[in-house]
Amino acid sequence: MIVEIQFKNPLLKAFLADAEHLELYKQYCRTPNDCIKKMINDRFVQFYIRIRAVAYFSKIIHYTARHFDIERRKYDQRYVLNLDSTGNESKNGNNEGSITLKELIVDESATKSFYEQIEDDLEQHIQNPNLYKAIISLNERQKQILYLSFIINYSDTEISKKLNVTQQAITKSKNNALAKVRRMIDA
Amino acid sequence: MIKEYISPLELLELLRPKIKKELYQTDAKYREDLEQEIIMKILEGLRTKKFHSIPTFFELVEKEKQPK
Repeated sequence: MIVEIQFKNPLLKAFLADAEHLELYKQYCRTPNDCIKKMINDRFVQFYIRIRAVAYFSKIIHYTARHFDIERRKYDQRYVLNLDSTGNESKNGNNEGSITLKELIVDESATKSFYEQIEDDLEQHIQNPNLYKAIISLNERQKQILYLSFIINYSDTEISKKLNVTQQAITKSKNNALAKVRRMIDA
Repeated sequence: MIKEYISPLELLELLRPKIKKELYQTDAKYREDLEQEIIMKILEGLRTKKFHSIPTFFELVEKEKQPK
Protein backbone atom coordinates (compact mmCIF):
# COMPACT_ATOMS: atom_id res chain seq x y z
CA MET A 1 0.00 0.00 0.00
CA ILE A 2 1.39 3.35 -1.04
CA VAL A 3 1.22 6.01 1.61
CA GLU A 4 0.16 9.48 0.55
CA ILE A 5 2.63 11.82 2.17
CA GLN A 6 2.56 14.78 -0.17
CA PHE A 7 1.09 17.42 2.12
CA LYS A 8 0.96 21.07 1.27
CA ASN A 9 0.49 22.30 4.84
CA PRO A 10 3.96 23.41 6.00
CA LEU A 11 3.25 22.21 9.52
CA LEU A 12 2.49 18.69 8.35
CA LYS A 13 5.45 18.73 6.00
CA ALA A 14 7.82 19.77 8.75
CA PHE A 15 6.34 17.25 11.15
CA LEU A 16 6.74 14.38 8.74
CA ALA A 17 10.24 15.48 7.77
CA ASP A 18 11.28 13.72 10.97
CA ALA A 19 11.92 10.09 10.03
CA GLU A 20 10.46 8.78 13.26
CA HIS A 21 7.20 10.68 12.75
CA LEU A 22 7.02 9.56 9.14
CA GLU A 23 7.50 5.94 10.16
CA LEU A 24 4.70 6.22 12.71
CA TYR A 25 2.40 7.76 10.16
CA LYS A 26 3.15 5.09 7.57
CA GLN A 27 2.47 2.46 10.14
CA TYR A 28 -0.82 4.08 10.94
CA CYS A 29 -1.86 4.21 7.30
CA ARG A 30 -1.09 0.54 6.92
CA THR A 31 -2.82 -0.55 10.11
CA PRO A 32 -4.93 2.18 11.64
CA ASN A 33 -5.38 1.69 15.35
CA ASP A 34 -6.01 3.96 18.31
CA CYS A 35 -2.69 3.29 19.98
CA ILE A 36 -0.63 4.62 17.09
CA LYS A 37 -3.09 7.41 16.55
CA LYS A 38 -2.66 8.54 20.12
CA MET A 39 1.11 8.36 19.79
CA ILE A 40 1.07 10.46 16.65
CA ASN A 41 -1.21 12.99 18.28
CA ASP A 42 1.03 13.26 21.33
CA ARG A 43 4.10 13.73 19.19
CA PHE A 44 2.34 16.28 17.10
CA VAL A 45 1.22 18.36 20.06
CA GLN A 46 4.75 18.40 21.38
CA PHE A 47 6.13 19.34 17.99
CA TYR A 48 3.50 22.01 17.52
CA ILE A 49 3.99 23.60 20.92
CA ARG A 50 7.73 23.83 20.43
CA ILE A 51 7.23 25.80 17.25
CA ARG A 52 4.61 28.04 18.83
CA ALA A 53 6.82 28.59 21.87
CA VAL A 54 9.87 29.54 19.83
CA ALA A 55 7.82 31.94 17.70
CA TYR A 56 6.11 33.42 20.73
CA PHE A 57 9.28 33.89 22.75
CA SER A 58 11.17 35.30 19.79
CA LYS A 59 8.66 38.09 19.75
CA ILE A 60 8.93 38.50 23.51
CA ILE A 61 12.71 38.78 23.21
CA HIS A 62 12.43 41.37 20.49
CA TYR A 63 10.00 43.56 22.38
CA THR A 64 11.84 43.17 25.66
CA ALA A 65 15.02 44.39 23.97
CA ARG A 66 13.25 47.35 22.41
CA HIS A 67 11.49 48.23 25.61
CA PHE A 68 14.76 47.97 27.51
CA ASP A 69 16.46 50.42 25.16
CA ILE A 70 13.62 52.90 25.36
CA GLU A 71 13.61 52.77 29.15
CA ARG A 72 17.36 53.13 29.32
CA ARG A 73 17.33 56.15 27.02
CA LYS A 74 14.59 57.73 29.08
CA TYR A 75 16.62 57.13 32.21
CA ASP A 76 19.77 58.58 30.65
CA GLN A 77 17.87 61.67 29.63
CA ARG A 78 16.40 62.25 33.04
CA TYR A 79 19.46 61.51 35.07
CA VAL A 80 22.23 63.08 33.07
CA LEU A 81 25.66 61.95 34.16
CA ASN A 82 27.71 64.34 32.03
CA LEU A 83 29.72 65.47 35.01
CA ASP A 84 30.54 61.93 36.06
CA SER A 85 31.97 61.05 32.69
CA THR A 86 35.63 61.53 32.03
CA GLY A 87 36.50 64.15 29.46
CA ASN A 88 37.99 61.75 26.98
CA GLU A 89 35.49 58.94 26.74
CA SER A 90 37.58 55.85 27.34
CA LYS A 91 35.60 52.80 26.43
CA ASN A 92 37.73 50.10 27.94
CA GLY A 93 36.09 50.80 31.28
CA ASN A 94 39.38 51.43 33.02
CA ASN A 95 38.60 54.87 34.37
CA GLU A 96 40.41 54.51 37.64
CA GLY A 97 42.37 57.62 38.48
CA SER A 98 41.20 59.70 35.57
CA ILE A 99 39.54 63.03 36.25
CA THR A 100 35.80 63.40 35.92
CA LEU A 101 34.35 66.63 34.63
CA LYS A 102 32.79 67.56 37.95
CA GLU A 103 36.24 67.83 39.46
CA LEU A 104 37.13 70.53 36.95
CA ILE A 105 34.35 72.91 37.94
CA VAL A 106 35.63 76.14 39.44
CA ASP A 107 34.10 76.94 42.80
CA GLU A 108 33.11 80.53 42.20
CA SER A 109 31.78 80.95 45.71
CA ALA A 110 35.23 80.32 47.15
CA THR A 111 36.44 83.67 48.45
CA LYS A 112 40.04 83.07 47.51
CA SER A 113 41.31 81.08 44.59
CA PHE A 114 44.43 78.99 44.68
CA TYR A 115 46.56 81.66 43.04
CA GLU A 116 45.53 84.36 45.47
CA GLN A 117 46.43 82.27 48.45
CA ILE A 118 50.03 82.32 47.43
CA GLU A 119 51.62 85.28 49.12
CA ASP A 120 52.38 87.28 46.08
CA ASP A 121 52.40 90.92 45.14
CA LEU A 122 52.25 92.70 41.86
CA GLU A 123 55.56 94.46 42.35
CA GLN A 124 57.38 91.15 42.70
CA HIS A 125 56.67 90.52 39.06
CA ILE A 126 58.19 93.79 37.88
CA GLN A 127 61.74 93.97 36.57
CA ASN A 128 61.91 97.44 35.08
CA PRO A 129 62.97 99.85 37.88
CA ASN A 130 60.95 102.80 36.54
CA LEU A 131 57.85 100.68 36.29
CA TYR A 132 58.52 99.29 39.77
CA LYS A 133 58.59 102.78 41.26
CA ALA A 134 55.35 103.64 39.52
CA ILE A 135 53.68 100.47 40.73
CA ILE A 136 54.54 100.82 44.39
CA SER A 137 53.06 104.30 44.40
CA LEU A 138 49.63 102.84 43.58
CA ASN A 139 47.20 102.16 46.38
CA GLU A 140 46.37 98.62 47.54
CA ARG A 141 43.13 98.33 45.62
CA GLN A 142 44.66 99.42 42.33
CA LYS A 143 47.52 97.00 42.82
CA GLN A 144 45.09 94.21 43.55
CA ILE A 145 43.11 94.92 40.40
CA LEU A 146 46.20 95.08 38.22
CA TYR A 147 47.49 91.89 39.79
CA LEU A 148 44.27 89.98 39.12
CA SER A 149 44.03 91.41 35.66
CA PHE A 150 47.56 90.96 34.34
CA ILE A 151 49.19 88.24 36.43
CA ILE A 152 46.26 85.89 36.90
CA ASN A 153 44.62 86.98 33.67
CA TYR A 154 41.11 87.45 34.98
CA SER A 155 38.65 89.43 32.91
CA ASP A 156 37.17 92.61 34.35
CA THR A 157 33.89 90.80 34.87
CA GLU A 158 35.56 88.03 36.86
CA ILE A 159 37.38 90.55 39.03
CA SER A 160 34.17 92.45 39.65
CA LYS A 161 32.49 89.26 40.85
CA LYS A 162 35.36 88.57 43.17
CA LEU A 163 35.45 92.04 44.68
CA ASN A 164 31.69 92.43 44.71
CA VAL A 165 31.53 95.61 42.66
CA THR A 166 30.32 96.34 39.15
CA GLN A 167 32.42 95.53 36.14
CA GLN A 168 32.34 99.22 35.13
CA ALA A 169 33.96 100.18 38.41
CA ILE A 170 36.75 97.69 37.85
CA THR A 171 37.36 98.87 34.29
CA LYS A 172 37.40 102.45 35.47
CA SER A 173 39.87 101.96 38.31
CA LYS A 174 42.03 99.74 36.14
CA ASN A 175 42.22 102.44 33.49
CA ASN A 176 42.93 105.05 36.15
CA ALA A 177 45.74 102.92 37.55
CA LEU A 178 47.24 102.35 34.11
CA ALA A 179 47.01 106.08 33.33
CA LYS A 180 48.73 106.87 36.58
CA VAL A 181 51.51 104.40 35.90
CA ARG A 182 52.00 105.82 32.40
CA ARG A 183 52.18 109.39 33.81
CA MET A 184 54.79 108.30 36.36
CA ILE A 185 56.93 106.58 33.73
CA ASP A 186 56.71 109.47 31.29
CA ALA A 187 57.53 112.02 33.97
CA MET B 1 1.13 24.57 29.85
CA ILE B 2 4.23 24.94 27.78
CA LYS B 3 6.40 23.51 30.53
CA GLU B 4 4.90 20.07 30.09
CA TYR B 5 6.07 19.89 26.51
CA ILE B 6 9.42 21.59 26.53
CA SER B 7 11.91 22.11 29.32
CA PRO B 8 12.92 25.70 30.08
CA LEU B 9 16.59 24.95 29.52
CA GLU B 10 15.91 23.39 26.16
CA LEU B 11 13.80 26.37 25.15
CA LEU B 12 16.49 28.82 26.23
CA GLU B 13 18.99 26.88 24.18
CA LEU B 14 16.71 27.09 21.15
CA LEU B 15 16.28 30.83 21.65
CA ARG B 16 19.95 31.55 22.32
CA PRO B 17 20.78 32.82 18.78
CA LYS B 18 17.78 35.13 18.82
CA ILE B 19 18.75 36.55 22.21
CA LYS B 20 22.31 37.13 21.01
CA LYS B 21 21.08 38.96 17.96
CA GLU B 22 18.90 41.28 20.02
CA LEU B 23 21.71 41.94 22.49
CA TYR B 24 23.84 43.42 19.75
CA GLN B 25 21.46 46.29 19.14
CA THR B 26 22.07 47.77 22.57
CA ASP B 27 25.13 49.39 24.10
CA ALA B 28 27.90 46.97 25.08
CA LYS B 29 27.81 47.92 28.74
CA TYR B 30 24.09 47.17 29.03
CA ARG B 31 24.15 43.79 27.33
CA GLU B 32 24.34 41.73 30.49
CA ASP B 33 21.44 43.62 32.02
CA LEU B 34 19.36 43.10 28.93
CA GLU B 35 20.19 39.40 28.80
CA GLN B 36 18.97 38.96 32.35
CA GLU B 37 15.85 40.92 31.59
CA ILE B 38 15.11 38.74 28.56
CA ILE B 39 15.65 35.48 30.40
CA MET B 40 13.42 36.70 33.19
CA LYS B 41 10.70 37.54 30.69
CA ILE B 42 10.99 34.10 29.10
CA LEU B 43 10.73 32.27 32.42
CA GLU B 44 7.77 34.43 33.33
CA GLY B 45 6.14 33.60 30.01
CA LEU B 46 6.75 29.90 30.53
CA ARG B 47 4.80 30.07 33.76
CA THR B 48 1.85 32.00 32.48
CA LYS B 49 1.46 31.52 28.73
CA LYS B 50 -1.06 29.01 27.42
CA PHE B 51 -1.63 28.25 23.76
CA HIS B 52 -5.22 27.84 22.79
CA SER B 53 -6.74 25.96 19.90
CA ILE B 54 -3.99 23.47 19.26
CA PRO B 55 -4.94 21.48 16.17
CA THR B 56 -4.50 17.71 16.16
CA PHE B 57 -2.51 16.01 13.50
CA PHE B 58 -5.50 14.25 11.99
CA GLU B 59 -7.55 17.42 11.79
CA LEU B 60 -4.87 18.93 9.60
CA VAL B 61 -4.66 15.79 7.51
CA GLU B 62 -8.44 15.85 7.00
CA LYS B 63 -8.29 19.49 5.96
CA GLU B 64 -5.59 18.68 3.48
CA LYS B 65 -7.72 15.97 1.89
CA GLN B 66 -10.73 18.21 1.39
CA PRO B 67 -11.02 19.54 -2.15
CA LYS B 68 -10.31 23.25 -2.30
